[in-house]
Amino acid sequence: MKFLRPAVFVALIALLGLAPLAGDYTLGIVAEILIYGIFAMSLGLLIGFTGLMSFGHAAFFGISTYTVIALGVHLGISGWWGMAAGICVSALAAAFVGLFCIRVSGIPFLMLTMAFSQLLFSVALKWRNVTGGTDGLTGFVRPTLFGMSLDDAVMRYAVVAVGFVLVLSFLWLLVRSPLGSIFIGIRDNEQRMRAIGYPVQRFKFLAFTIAGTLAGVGGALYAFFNAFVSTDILHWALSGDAIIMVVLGGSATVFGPAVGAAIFLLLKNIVSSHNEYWMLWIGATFILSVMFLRQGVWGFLVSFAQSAVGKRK
Amino acid sequence: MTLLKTENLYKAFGKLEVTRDVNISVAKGERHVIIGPNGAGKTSLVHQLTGQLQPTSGRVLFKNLDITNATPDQICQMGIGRTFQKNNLFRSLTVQENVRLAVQAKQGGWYECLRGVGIRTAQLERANHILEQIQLTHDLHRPVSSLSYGEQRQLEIAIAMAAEPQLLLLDEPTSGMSLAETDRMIELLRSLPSSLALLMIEHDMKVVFSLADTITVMYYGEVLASGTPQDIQSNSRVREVYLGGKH
Amino acid sequence: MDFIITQLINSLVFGSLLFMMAAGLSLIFGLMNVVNIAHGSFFMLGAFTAYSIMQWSGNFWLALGVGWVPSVIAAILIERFFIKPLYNRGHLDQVLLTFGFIYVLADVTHYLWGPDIRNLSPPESLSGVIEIAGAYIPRYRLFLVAFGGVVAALLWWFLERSRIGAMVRAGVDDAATAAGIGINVPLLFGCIFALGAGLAGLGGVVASPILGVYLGMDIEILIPAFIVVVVGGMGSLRGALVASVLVAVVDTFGKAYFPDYALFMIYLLMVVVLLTRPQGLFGIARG
Repeated sequence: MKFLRPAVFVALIALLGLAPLAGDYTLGIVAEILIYGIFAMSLGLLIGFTGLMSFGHAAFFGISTYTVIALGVHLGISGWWGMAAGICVSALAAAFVGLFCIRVSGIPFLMLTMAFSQLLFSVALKWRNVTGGTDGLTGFVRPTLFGMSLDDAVMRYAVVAVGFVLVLSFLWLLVRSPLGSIFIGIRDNEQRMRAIGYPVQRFKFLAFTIAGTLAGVGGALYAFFNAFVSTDILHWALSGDAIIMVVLGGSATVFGPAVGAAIFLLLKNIVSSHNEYWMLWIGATFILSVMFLRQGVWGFLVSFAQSAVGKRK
Repeated sequence: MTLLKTENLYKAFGKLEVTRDVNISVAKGERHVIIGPNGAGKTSLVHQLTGQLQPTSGRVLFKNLDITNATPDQICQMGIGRTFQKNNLFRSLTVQENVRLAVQAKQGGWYECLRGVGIRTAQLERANHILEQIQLTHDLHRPVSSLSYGEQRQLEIAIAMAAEPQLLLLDEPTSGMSLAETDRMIELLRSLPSSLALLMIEHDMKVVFSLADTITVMYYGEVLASGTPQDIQSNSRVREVYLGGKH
Repeated sequence: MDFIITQLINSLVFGSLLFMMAAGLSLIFGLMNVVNIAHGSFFMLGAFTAYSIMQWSGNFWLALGVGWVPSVIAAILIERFFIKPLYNRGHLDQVLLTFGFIYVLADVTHYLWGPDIRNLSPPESLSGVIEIAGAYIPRYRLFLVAFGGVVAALLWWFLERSRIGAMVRAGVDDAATAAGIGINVPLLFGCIFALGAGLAGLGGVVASPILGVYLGMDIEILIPAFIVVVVGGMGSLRGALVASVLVAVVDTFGKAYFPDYALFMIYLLMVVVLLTRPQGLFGIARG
């Protein structure tokens, strides 16, 4: 069992490294999957590891994308600085929203996160000169790295892949750290955590802010990837999609949500090439997953592997 | 030295008075047991002592500090631990992790988020030590769900002990236990450090009279009588209200 | 003055629609502890069905009479085959389930009716305008307000005066005890879920001449409906009524006087209520 995890990690790196061989089109799909994977994993930290069902996570993804692109289009600021700014803005937004939302839990928390997200969406719709409204912002110039522009598909993919591995590693370490054990404890039994001396609100706030910041990383990478942003990115449909990704892949592991993102996007792409009813398939798959494969696809694979190894002992 | 003291504690939900003018005190190392029929307000009292319920009026003092409005986590950090009447464990975690989490709470240093391997070893050692004290030693990596009910009650106490409390509040530690399990629990409670004060709610008279230095009898939210076991046994009002037929 | 009257009537119109959504949502949550996120889908289904019935028969009253049926059928199937098996799993899973159904029902509607926006005219008897104190109010809107009032009154009578209503109230209060005194709780759940869906569907039918019929109306009505339920208090019919009017007034007058901040106002309202009184105006604070 001890060798399984590093083996999977190495396999992942190998796959990521080999992807450019598949051609620019496939590379684009993989990059998109990795970006949404980051987004989903960040939500996984809230849902799977702290027990907070947030319905407004798209806000922190989208606000970062907007920051990067708006700074680039309106002020000509380079994408790299834009990315730094975008991540900071997401962190601040998450901290601000978190301050309010953490005071409630359960259904009110779900509603409040959704309300804040919709508020941001409304602002973006209204603030046309900055956000371009529903038409969005065009004209973003992708930054360069080592002399190569990110307009090049492989270069762009490389940046996204590195970002993904960094976020994955960070989350993996976090979950195994003392802080991570506290999040897990809160998910399991919040009341007891208080009774044994943890200021639970403070940690929920921290989890919320970290999750929002990581979503911001995804959002900034999305800006590089898409070079375009419109208000769709702040719509709660994206938050809903993220929840589906987390549950489909498996909320109990760090990597699960990324697998869910892959399944979601692949399913959507495959169905869309045949007919327009991809929502039916996603919805049905999701419903079946909640009913019969609650641990998610990756969660199922992990527990299967664990029991297989266990049997051999 | 008085560790815990309440001053005229009063709690009402609208017209329903659950705690009426309660004054109790617990000294360092004292074994103080609260008894009373169901509905006497014993658990509400514990909730008010541990920050889960705000009294309507009156004060709770711990080491002469006013903790009436303190939050549960603050109260734990100050040195009061508690167990719950119904097992309140971390069900998806292992036995060892349940206790380690509690040990970690006391030690702080949470922001060493990405390091802390060495700290963890120390925490695990301490957790194992506590589990030994509580006589829960075999296979600490079992999930909580595989423990028997009695073992789960023991784990309840282990978790509360991890924060090195000076006062331990036990809410019916032997509830739901068989005779054998109850005897084991009495032994366990007897073996706890004598410097640790115990404030216990109990129904089982065998447990009460084996352990108590002081007994407080509660009835309809009020303190009916308080004193040594002999005082209580010879108190006619107590006999009439509570002890009659139950010994 | 006529401006205020127009806005007031518009508020009451929106409020009636919100009430029909929120009443079902609130009852379902109060009794079953399930947040039916797909509730907007029942609304949309009602609107599309009304459109089809109108196309086929030209009779609005027929649409009113049976337009809610597909919604109820869908609800019964969903509750019986998907939600019921998950009772033991906890509310989160049931919420996730209903969320999945938004996707499914949206595409089913898309498949059956196509992507175009449809329009319906109100029936002859209800078309035209009436003058009230200088304001010209479309007759249909007045009908809608009256209709909403009638629905509210019938619901109130049903809950307060009928035996089934008493069982629902008992179940809302404490489902376990209700089962203990012999109430068939699973059957009750099924009925209430269907009733809620029927109300939503009915709302969709009466809304269609005003709002039109289009894909996406499920989400558009859902969020204000949730705001109403949160503000009014989950499980409280009185709360749903008061909050429907409150939210509708805030939204309508907000849009009229502060068009720049229009979209904010009801969200702000929800945020304020959630932070000061999380259980809503009339809700029961659940542990």
